[in-house]
Amino acid sequence: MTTETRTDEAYRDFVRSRAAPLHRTAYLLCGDWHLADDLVQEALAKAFRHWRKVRRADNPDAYVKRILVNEANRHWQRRAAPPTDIVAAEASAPDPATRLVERDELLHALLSLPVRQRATVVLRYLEGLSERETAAVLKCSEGTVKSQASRALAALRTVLNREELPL
Amino acid sequence: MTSQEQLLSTALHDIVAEQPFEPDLVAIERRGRRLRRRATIRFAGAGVAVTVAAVAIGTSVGPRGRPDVAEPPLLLLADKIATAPKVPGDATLIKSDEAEDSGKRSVGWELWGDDGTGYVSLDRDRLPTLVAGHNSVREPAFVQDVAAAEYAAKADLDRARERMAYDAFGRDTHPANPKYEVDDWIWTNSVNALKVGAGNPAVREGVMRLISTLPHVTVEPTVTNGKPTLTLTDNEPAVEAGIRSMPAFTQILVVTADTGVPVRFHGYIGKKDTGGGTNYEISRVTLADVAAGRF
Repeated sequence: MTTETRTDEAYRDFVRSRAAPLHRTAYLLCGDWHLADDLVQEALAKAFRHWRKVRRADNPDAYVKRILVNEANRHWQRRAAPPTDIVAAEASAPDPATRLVERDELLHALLSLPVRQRATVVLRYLEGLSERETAAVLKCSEGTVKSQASRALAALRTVLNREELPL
Repeated sequence: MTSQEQLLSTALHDIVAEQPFEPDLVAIERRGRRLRRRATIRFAGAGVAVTVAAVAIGTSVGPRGRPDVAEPPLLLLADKIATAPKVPGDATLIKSDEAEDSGKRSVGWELWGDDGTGYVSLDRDRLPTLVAGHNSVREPAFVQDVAAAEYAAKADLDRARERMAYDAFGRDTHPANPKYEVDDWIWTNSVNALKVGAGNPAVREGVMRLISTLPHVTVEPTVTNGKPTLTLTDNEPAVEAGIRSMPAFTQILVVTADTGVPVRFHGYIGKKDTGGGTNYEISRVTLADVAAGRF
Protein backbone atom coordinates (compact mmCIF):
# COMPACT_ATOMS: atom_id res chain seq x y z
CA MET A 1 0.00 0.00 0.00
CA THR A 2 1.45 3.40 -0.94
CA THR A 3 1.65 6.25 1.55
CA GLU A 4 -0.82 8.23 -0.52
CA THR A 5 -3.31 5.38 -0.32
CA ARG A 6 -2.77 5.24 3.43
CA THR A 7 -3.44 8.97 3.65
CA ASP A 8 -6.68 8.55 1.70
CA GLU A 9 -7.65 5.63 3.90
CA ALA A 10 -6.98 7.66 7.04
CA TYR A 11 -9.34 10.34 5.71
CA ARG A 12 -11.99 7.75 4.86
CA ASP A 13 -11.70 6.15 8.27
CA PHE A 14 -12.18 9.56 9.82
CA VAL A 15 -15.29 10.18 7.70
CA ARG A 16 -16.75 6.76 8.46
CA SER A 17 -16.28 7.18 12.19
CA ARG A 18 -17.32 10.83 12.48
CA ALA A 19 -20.01 11.38 9.80
CA ALA A 20 -22.96 10.15 11.85
CA PRO A 21 -22.20 12.23 14.99
CA LEU A 22 -21.52 15.27 12.79
CA HIS A 23 -24.85 14.66 11.06
CA ARG A 24 -26.70 14.67 14.39
CA THR A 25 -24.93 17.87 15.40
CA ALA A 26 -25.78 19.46 12.05
CA TYR A 27 -29.44 18.58 12.49
CA LEU A 28 -29.67 20.32 15.83
CA LEU A 29 -27.94 23.35 14.35
CA CYS A 30 -30.34 23.61 11.41
CA GLY A 31 -33.51 21.58 12.18
CA ASP A 32 -33.64 19.85 8.79
CA TRP A 33 -32.21 16.41 8.06
CA HIS A 34 -31.70 17.10 4.35
CA LEU A 35 -29.93 20.36 5.04
CA ALA A 36 -27.87 18.52 7.69
CA ASP A 37 -26.77 16.08 4.94
CA ASP A 38 -25.53 19.00 2.84
CA LEU A 39 -23.81 20.77 5.73
CA VAL A 40 -21.92 17.64 6.76
CA GLN A 41 -20.92 16.78 3.19
CA GLU A 42 -19.61 20.32 2.69
CA ALA A 43 -17.72 20.32 6.01
CA LEU A 44 -16.11 16.98 5.17
CA ALA A 45 -15.20 18.16 1.66
CA LYS A 46 -13.43 21.15 3.20
CA ALA A 47 -11.65 18.83 5.61
CA PHE A 48 -10.58 16.74 2.58
CA ARG A 49 -9.11 19.83 0.94
CA HIS A 50 -6.96 20.45 4.00
CA TRP A 51 -6.56 16.86 5.13
CA ARG A 52 -2.78 16.84 5.39
CA LYS A 53 -3.05 19.71 7.84
CA VAL A 54 -6.20 18.56 9.57
CA ARG A 55 -4.68 15.18 10.47
CA ARG A 56 -1.81 16.96 12.20
CA ALA A 57 -4.08 19.13 14.33
CA ASP A 58 -4.30 18.52 18.07
CA ASN A 59 -7.88 17.51 17.54
CA PRO A 60 -8.99 16.96 13.91
CA ASP A 61 -12.53 16.37 15.11
CA ALA A 62 -12.70 19.84 16.68
CA TYR A 63 -11.38 21.35 13.45
CA VAL A 64 -14.11 19.71 11.39
CA LYS A 65 -16.78 20.68 13.94
CA ARG A 66 -15.62 24.27 13.60
CA ILE A 67 -16.09 24.04 9.84
CA LEU A 68 -19.55 22.55 10.37
CA VAL A 69 -20.63 25.32 12.76
CA ASN A 70 -19.33 27.90 10.26
CA GLU A 71 -21.29 26.24 7.49
CA ALA A 72 -24.47 26.32 9.56
CA ASN A 73 -23.89 30.00 10.43
CA ARG A 74 -23.32 30.81 6.80
CA HIS A 75 -26.59 29.14 5.93
CA TRP A 76 -28.51 31.22 8.49
CA GLN A 77 -26.85 34.41 7.33
CA ARG A 78 -28.29 33.76 3.89
CA ARG A 79 -31.73 32.72 5.16
CA ALA A 80 -31.94 35.26 8.01
CA ALA A 81 -34.22 33.04 10.12
CA PRO A 82 -34.40 29.44 11.31
CA PRO A 83 -37.09 27.18 9.83
CA THR A 84 -40.57 27.03 11.26
CA ASP A 85 -41.55 23.76 9.58
CA ILE A 86 -39.42 21.38 11.64
CA VAL A 87 -40.19 17.70 11.33
CA ALA A 88 -38.88 16.44 14.61
CA ALA A 89 -40.91 13.24 14.54
CA GLU A 90 -39.13 11.72 11.54
CA ALA A 91 -36.61 9.83 13.56
CA SER A 92 -38.98 8.42 16.12
CA ALA A 93 -42.33 7.37 14.73
CA PRO A 94 -43.17 4.81 17.43
CA ASP A 95 -43.05 7.34 20.27
CA PRO A 96 -46.19 8.61 22.00
CA ALA A 97 -47.73 11.70 20.44
CA THR A 98 -47.26 13.84 23.51
CA ARG A 99 -43.54 13.22 23.53
CA LEU A 100 -43.26 14.19 19.86
CA VAL A 101 -44.86 17.51 20.64
CA GLU A 102 -42.37 18.12 23.43
CA ARG A 103 -39.42 17.24 21.21
CA ASP A 104 -40.84 19.53 18.56
CA GLU A 105 -41.15 22.32 21.12
CA LEU A 106 -37.62 21.80 22.36
CA LEU A 107 -36.26 21.84 18.82
CA HIS A 108 -38.24 25.01 18.04
CA ALA A 109 -36.88 26.61 21.20
CA LEU A 110 -33.34 25.50 20.35
CA LEU A 111 -33.57 26.91 16.83
CA SER A 112 -34.92 30.18 18.20
CA LEU A 113 -31.72 30.72 20.16
CA PRO A 114 -29.03 33.01 18.75
CA VAL A 115 -26.63 31.03 16.56
CA ARG A 116 -23.74 31.01 19.04
CA GLN A 117 -25.93 29.95 21.97
CA ARG A 118 -27.39 27.16 19.86
CA ALA A 119 -23.95 25.92 18.84
CA THR A 120 -22.84 26.06 22.48
CA VAL A 121 -25.81 23.97 23.59
CA VAL A 122 -25.30 21.38 20.85
CA LEU A 123 -21.58 21.02 21.46
CA ARG A 124 -21.90 20.91 25.25
CA TYR A 125 -25.03 18.81 25.70
CA LEU A 126 -25.23 16.65 22.57
CA GLU A 127 -21.55 16.20 21.79
CA GLY A 128 -20.58 16.23 25.46
CA LEU A 129 -17.63 18.57 24.92
CA SER A 130 -16.09 20.25 27.92
CA GLU A 131 -16.22 24.05 28.24
CA ARG A 132 -12.60 24.17 27.11
CA GLU A 133 -13.23 21.99 24.06
CA THR A 134 -16.34 23.97 23.16
CA ALA A 135 -14.37 27.21 23.45
CA ALA A 136 -11.75 25.79 21.05
CA VAL A 137 -14.36 24.86 18.47
CA LEU A 138 -16.21 28.19 18.73
CA LYS A 139 -13.01 30.22 18.94
CA CYS A 140 -14.00 31.99 22.14
CA SER A 141 -13.06 31.94 25.81
CA GLU A 142 -14.32 29.39 28.35
CA GLY A 143 -16.07 32.28 30.10
CA THR A 144 -18.03 33.02 26.95
CA VAL A 145 -19.04 29.35 26.71
CA LYS A 146 -20.25 29.46 30.34
CA SER A 147 -22.31 32.60 29.78
CA GLN A 148 -23.75 31.39 26.45
CA ALA A 149 -24.74 28.06 27.98
CA SER A 150 -26.27 29.75 30.98
CA ARG A 151 -28.36 32.11 28.82
CA ALA A 152 -29.42 29.24 26.57
CA LEU A 153 -30.50 27.14 29.54
CA ALA A 154 -32.53 30.05 30.88
CA ALA A 155 -34.24 30.41 27.51
CA LEU A 156 -34.95 26.68 27.27
CA ARG A 157 -36.09 26.35 30.89
CA THR A 158 -39.81 26.56 30.16
CA VAL A 159 -39.70 23.75 27.64
CA LEU A 160 -37.32 21.71 29.76
CA ASN A 161 -39.56 21.94 32.77
CA ARG A 162 -42.37 20.44 30.67
CA GLU A 163 -39.97 17.73 29.41
CA GLU A 164 -39.09 16.71 32.93
CA LEU A 165 -42.28 14.71 33.51
CA PRO A 166 -42.41 12.30 30.54
CA LEU A 167 -38.66 11.87 30.21
CA MET B 1 -23.65 18.74 35.20
CA THR B 2 -26.84 20.06 36.84
CA SER B 3 -30.09 18.10 36.63
CA GLN B 4 -31.40 20.57 34.07
CA GLU B 5 -28.29 20.18 31.92
CA GLN B 6 -28.62 16.40 32.21
CA LEU B 7 -32.24 16.64 31.16
CA LEU B 8 -31.34 18.78 28.16
CA SER B 9 -28.59 16.36 27.14
CA THR B 10 -30.98 13.39 27.32
CA ALA B 11 -33.65 15.24 25.36
CA LEU B 12 -31.21 16.26 22.62
CA HIS B 13 -29.94 12.71 22.25
CA ASP B 14 -33.52 11.54 22.10
CA ILE B 15 -34.35 13.98 19.29
CA VAL B 16 -31.54 12.75 17.05
CA ALA B 17 -31.65 9.06 17.98
CA GLU B 18 -31.56 6.40 15.31
CA GLN B 19 -31.27 8.69 12.30
CA PRO B 20 -29.12 6.83 9.78
CA PHE B 21 -26.55 8.69 7.70
CA GLU B 22 -24.28 7.22 5.08
CA PRO B 23 -21.72 9.75 3.82
CA ASP B 24 -21.20 9.77 0.06
CA LEU B 25 -17.41 9.50 0.07
CA VAL B 26 -17.04 9.75 -3.70
CA ALA B 27 -19.08 12.97 -3.82
CA ILE B 28 -17.25 14.41 -0.78
CA GLU B 29 -13.80 13.78 -2.24
CA ARG B 30 -14.86 15.12 -5.64
CA ARG B 31 -16.13 18.29 -3.96
CA GLY B 32 -12.92 18.53 -1.90
CA ARG B 33 -10.82 18.42 -5.07
CA ARG B 34 -12.97 21.12 -6.66
CA LEU B 35 -12.44 23.33 -3.59
CA ARG B 36 -8.68 22.86 -3.96
CA ARG B 37 -8.84 24.02 -7.55
CA ARG B 38 -10.97 27.07 -6.67
CA ALA B 39 -8.51 28.00 -3.95
CA THR B 40 -5.71 27.90 -6.51
CA ILE B 41 -7.15 30.93 -8.25
CA ARG B 42 -7.35 32.89 -4.99
CA PHE B 43 -3.79 32.05 -3.93
CA ALA B 44 -2.38 32.71 -7.41
CA GLY B 45 -3.80 36.24 -7.22
CA ALA B 46 -2.48 36.78 -3.70
CA GLY B 47 0.98 35.61 -4.77
CA VAL B 48 1.53 38.54 -7.08
CA ALA B 49 0.95 41.06 -4.31
CA VAL B 50 3.22 39.19 -1.90
CA THR B 51 6.08 39.07 -4.40
CA VAL B 52 5.91 42.78 -5.11
CA ALA B 53 5.85 43.61 -1.40
CA ALA B 54 8.84 41.38 -0.73
CA VAL B 55 10.92 43.14 -3.37
CA ALA B 56 9.99 46.54 -2.00
CA ILE B 57 10.67 45.72 1.63
CA GLY B 58 13.32 43.02 1.54
CA THR B 59 16.14 44.72 -0.38
CA SER B 60 18.14 47.90 -0.35
CA VAL B 61 21.16 49.00 -2.35
CA GLY B 62 24.48 48.56 -0.58
CA PRO B 63 27.61 50.70 -0.90
CA ARG B 64 28.90 48.78 -3.92
CA GLY B 65 25.62 48.94 -5.79
CA ARG B 66 24.70 45.33 -4.98
CA PRO B 67 21.45 44.50 -3.26
CA ASP B 68 22.27 44.34 0.44
CA VAL B 69 20.05 41.55 1.72
CA ALA B 70 20.53 40.02 5.14
CA GLU B 71 20.81 36.25 4.94
CA PRO B 72 17.55 34.68 6.12
CA PRO B 73 17.85 33.24 9.65
CA LEU B 74 17.16 29.67 8.51
CA LEU B 75 20.00 29.78 5.95
CA LEU B 76 22.32 31.13 8.65
CA LEU B 77 21.25 28.25 10.87
CA ALA B 78 21.76 25.77 8.01
CA ASP B 79 25.33 27.07 7.55
CA LYS B 80 25.93 26.75 11.29
CA ILE B 81 24.69 23.15 11.31
CA ALA B 82 26.87 22.29 8.28
CA THR B 83 30.06 23.43 10.01
CA ALA B 84 29.29 22.02 13.47
CA PRO B 85 31.25 18.98 14.62
CA LYS B 86 29.45 15.71 14.02
CA VAL B 87 27.97 13.87 16.97
CA PRO B 88 28.64 10.11 16.77
CA GLY B 89 25.73 7.72 16.43
CA ASP B 90 23.47 6.10 13.86
CA ALA B 91 20.01 6.78 15.28
CA THR B 92 17.79 9.51 16.74
CA LEU B 93 16.19 8.91 20.13
CA ILE B 94 13.11 11.03 20.79
CA LYS B 95 11.24 11.48 24.04
CA SER B 96 7.94 13.15 23.19
CA ASP B 97 5.75 14.67 25.85
CA GLU B 98 2.33 15.35 24.38
CA ALA B 99 -0.70 17.22 25.75
CA GLU B 100 -3.89 15.21 25.34
CA ASP B 101 -7.32 16.80 24.85
CA SER B 102 -8.10 16.18 28.52
CA GLY B 103 -5.10 18.32 29.49
CA LYS B 104 -3.20 15.22 30.66
CA ARG B 105 0.30 14.76 29.25
CA SER B 106 1.54 11.48 27.86
CA VAL B 107 5.14 10.51 27.23
CA GLY B 108 6.25 8.31 24.35
CA TRP B 109 9.58 7.09 23.00
CA GLU B 110 10.68 6.80 19.39
CA LEU B 111 13.94 5.57 17.96
CA TRP B 112 14.67 6.22 14.27
CA GLY B 113 17.75 4.67 12.71
CA ASP B 114 19.63 6.29 9.85
CA ASP B 115 19.02 2.98 8.03
CA GLY B 116 15.26 3.66 7.94
CA THR B 117 14.27 1.44 10.86
CA GLY B 118 11.94 2.79 13.54
CA TYR B 119 10.94 1.66 17.02
CA VAL B 120 8.08 3.19 18.99
CA SER B 121 7.00 2.51 22.56
CA LEU B 122 5.33 4.24 25.49
CA ASP B 123 7.87 2.50 27.69
CA ARG B 124 11.55 3.46 27.35
CA ASP B 125 12.60 0.12 28.83
CA ARG B 126 10.97 -1.78 25.97
CA LEU B 127 13.17 -0.18 23.29
CA PRO B 128 16.16 -2.57 23.74
CA THR B 129 13.88 -5.59 23.21
CA LEU B 130 12.33 -4.02 20.11
CA VAL B 131 15.73 -3.18 18.59
CA ALA B 132 17.33 -6.51 19.47
CA GLY B 133 14.31 -8.30 17.98
CA HIS B 134 14.41 -6.14 14.80
CA ASN B 135 10.80 -5.24 15.55
CA SER B 136 10.84 -2.16 13.34
CA VAL B 137 7.81 -0.08 12.35
CA ARG B 138 9.24 0.88 8.99
CA GLU B 139 7.54 3.98 7.63
CA PRO B 140 8.50 4.50 3.96
CA ALA B 141 7.20 8.08 3.92
CA PHE B 142 9.60 9.05 6.69
CA VAL B 143 12.50 7.40 4.87
CA GLN B 144 11.68 9.41 1.75
CA ASP B 145 11.23 12.64 3.70
CA VAL B 146 14.61 12.14 5.38
CA ALA B 147 16.27 11.34 2.03
CA ALA B 148 14.80 14.51 0.50
CA ALA B 149 16.12 16.57 3.42
CA GLU B 150 19.61 15.10 3.07
CA TYR B 151 19.47 15.85 -0.64
CA ALA B 152 18.55 19.48 0.12
CA ALA B 153 21.68 19.82 2.26
CA LYS B 154 24.03 19.16 -0.61
CA ALA B 155 22.23 19.62 -3.92
CA ASP B 156 19.94 21.80 -5.98
CA LEU B 157 17.21 23.31 -3.82
CA ASP B 158 14.56 23.40 -6.56
CA ARG B 159 14.95 19.68 -7.13
CA ALA B 160 15.01 19.12 -3.36
CA ARG B 161 11.68 20.96 -3.07
CA GLU B 162 10.19 18.65 -5.69
CA ARG B 163 11.49 15.61 -3.86
CA MET B 164 10.23 16.76 -0.47
CA ALA B 165 6.80 17.61 -1.87
CA TYR B 166 6.20 14.52 -3.96
CA ASP B 167 8.50 11.59 -3.14
CA ALA B 168 6.52 10.38 -0.16
CA PHE B 169 2.95 11.17 -1.19
CA GLY B 170 3.01 11.39 -4.99
CA ARG B 171 1.25 14.00 -7.05
CA ASP B 172 -2.46 14.67 -6.98
CA THR B 173 -4.60 13.50 -9.83
CA HIS B 174 -5.19 16.95 -11.29
CA PRO B 175 -2.48 18.17 -13.65
CA ALA B 176 -0.55 20.75 -11.65
CA ASN B 177 -0.49 21.27 -7.93
CA PRO B 178 -0.55 24.99 -7.13
CA LYS B 179 2.57 26.44 -5.53
CA TYR B 180 0.91 27.20 -2.18
CA GLU B 181 -0.11 23.56 -1.93
CA VAL B 182 3.35 22.32 -2.85
CA ASP B 183 4.76 24.71 -0.22
CA ASP B 184 2.30 23.29 2.27
CA TRP B 185 3.46 19.72 1.60
CA ILE B 186 7.10 20.75 1.84
CA TRP B 187 6.36 22.21 5.26
CA THR B 188 4.47 19.14 6.48
CA ASN B 189 6.99 16.61 5.16
CA SER B 190 9.98 18.68 6.31
CA VAL B 191 8.59 18.74 9.85
CA ASN B 192 8.30 14.94 9.70
CA ALA B 193 11.85 14.62 8.40
CA LEU B 194 13.19 16.96 11.05
CA LYS B 195 11.62 14.91 13.80
CA VAL B 196 12.70 11.45 12.74
CA GLY B 197 16.09 12.60 11.47
CA ALA B 198 16.87 15.20 14.11
CA GLY B 199 20.01 13.40 15.20
CA ASN B 200 21.45 13.65 11.71
CA PRO B 201 22.93 17.12 10.97
CA ALA B 202 22.47 16.71 7.19
CA VAL B 203 18.73 16.29 7.73
CA ARG B 204 18.51 19.38 9.93
CA GLU B 205 20.56 21.42 7.47
CA GLY B 206 18.42 20.30 4.53
CA VAL B 207 15.17 20.98 6.35
CA MET B 208 16.27 24.52 7.25
CA ARG B 209 17.19 25.19 3.61
CA LEU B 210 13.85 23.81 2.43
CA ILE B 211 11.75 25.75 4.94
CA SER B 212 13.66 28.93 4.04
CA THR B 213 11.97 28.69 0.60
CA LEU B 214 8.46 28.84 2.08
CA PRO B 215 7.09 32.41 1.95
CA HIS B 216 4.25 31.72 4.39
CA VAL B 217 6.52 30.55 7.22
CA THR B 218 7.71 33.25 9.60
CA VAL B 219 10.80 32.89 11.78
CA GLU B 220 11.25 34.61 15.14
CA PRO B 221 14.06 34.40 17.69
CA THR B 222 12.64 33.15 20.98
CA VAL B 223 13.78 31.73 24.30
CA THR B 224 12.53 28.32 25.43
CA ASN B 225 13.41 26.88 28.84
CA GLY B 226 16.09 29.57 29.13
CA LYS B 227 17.80 28.64 25.85
CA PRO B 228 17.79 30.57 22.55
CA THR B 229 15.41 29.09 20.03
CA LEU B 230 13.83 29.94 16.71
CA THR B 231 10.04 29.71 16.39
CA LEU B 232 8.87 28.84 12.90
CA THR B 233 5.19 29.64 12.35
CA ASP B 234 3.04 28.37 9.52
CA ASN B 235 -0.16 30.41 9.40
CA GLU B 236 -3.15 29.57 7.34
CA PRO B 237 -5.51 32.52 7.70
CA ALA B 238 -9.21 32.13 8.34
CA VAL B 239 -11.53 32.66 5.43
CA GLU B 240 -14.64 34.02 7.08
CA ALA B 241 -17.25 33.95 4.35
CA GLY B 242 -18.21 32.44 1.09
CA ILE B 243 -17.85 28.94 -0.21
CA ARG B 244 -14.21 28.78 0.89
CA SER B 245 -14.85 29.66 4.54
CA MET B 246 -12.29 27.93 6.76
CA PRO B 247 -11.05 28.46 10.30
CA ALA B 248 -7.51 29.73 10.74
CA PHE B 249 -4.98 27.00 11.36
CA THR B 250 -1.57 27.58 12.84
CA GLN B 251 1.41 25.29 13.26
CA ILE B 252 4.49 26.22 15.21
CA LEU B 253 7.80 24.45 15.27
CA VAL B 254 10.37 25.53 17.85
CA VAL B 255 14.00 24.54 17.20
CA THR B 256 17.21 25.30 19.07
CA ALA B 257 18.82 28.41 17.63
CA ASP B 258 22.28 26.92 17.16
CA THR B 259 21.57 23.32 16.10
CA GLY B 260 18.05 23.25 14.62
CA VAL B 261 17.02 20.35 16.85
CA PRO B 262 13.23 20.42 17.39
CA VAL B 263 12.05 21.36 20.87
CA ARG B 264 8.30 21.68 20.39
CA PHE B 265 5.58 21.28 17.77
CA HIS B 266 2.00 22.47 18.04
CA GLY B 267 -0.81 22.59 15.47
CA TYR B 268 -3.98 24.36 16.56
CA ILE B 269 -7.12 26.11 15.41
CA GLY B 270 -7.03 29.89 15.44
CA LYS B 271 -4.14 32.25 16.01
CA LYS B 272 -3.58 31.99 19.74
CA ASP B 273 -1.15 29.35 20.95
CA THR B 274 -3.01 27.52 23.70
CA GLY B 275 0.19 26.07 25.10
CA GLY B 276 -0.50 22.45 24.14
CA GLY B 277 1.36 20.39 21.59
CA THR B 278 4.33 18.10 21.90
CA ASN B 279 7.65 18.81 23.59
CA TYR B 280 10.69 16.90 22.37
CA GLU B 281 13.92 15.80 23.98
CA ILE B 282 16.19 14.47 21.27
CA SER B 283 19.54 12.71 21.48
CA ARG B 284 21.94 10.89 19.18
CA VAL B 285 22.54 7.23 20.01
CA THR B 286 23.63 4.02 18.32
CA LEU B 287 21.19 1.20 17.65
CA ALA B 288 23.73 -1.26 19.09
CA ASP B 289 23.89 0.67 22.37
CA VAL B 290 20.11 0.79 22.66
CA ALA B 291 19.84 -2.94 21.92
CA ALA B 292 22.33 -3.52 24.73
CA GLY B 293 20.41 -1.23 27.08
CA ARG B 294 23.24 1.37 27.15
CA PHE B 295 21.43 4.64 26.56
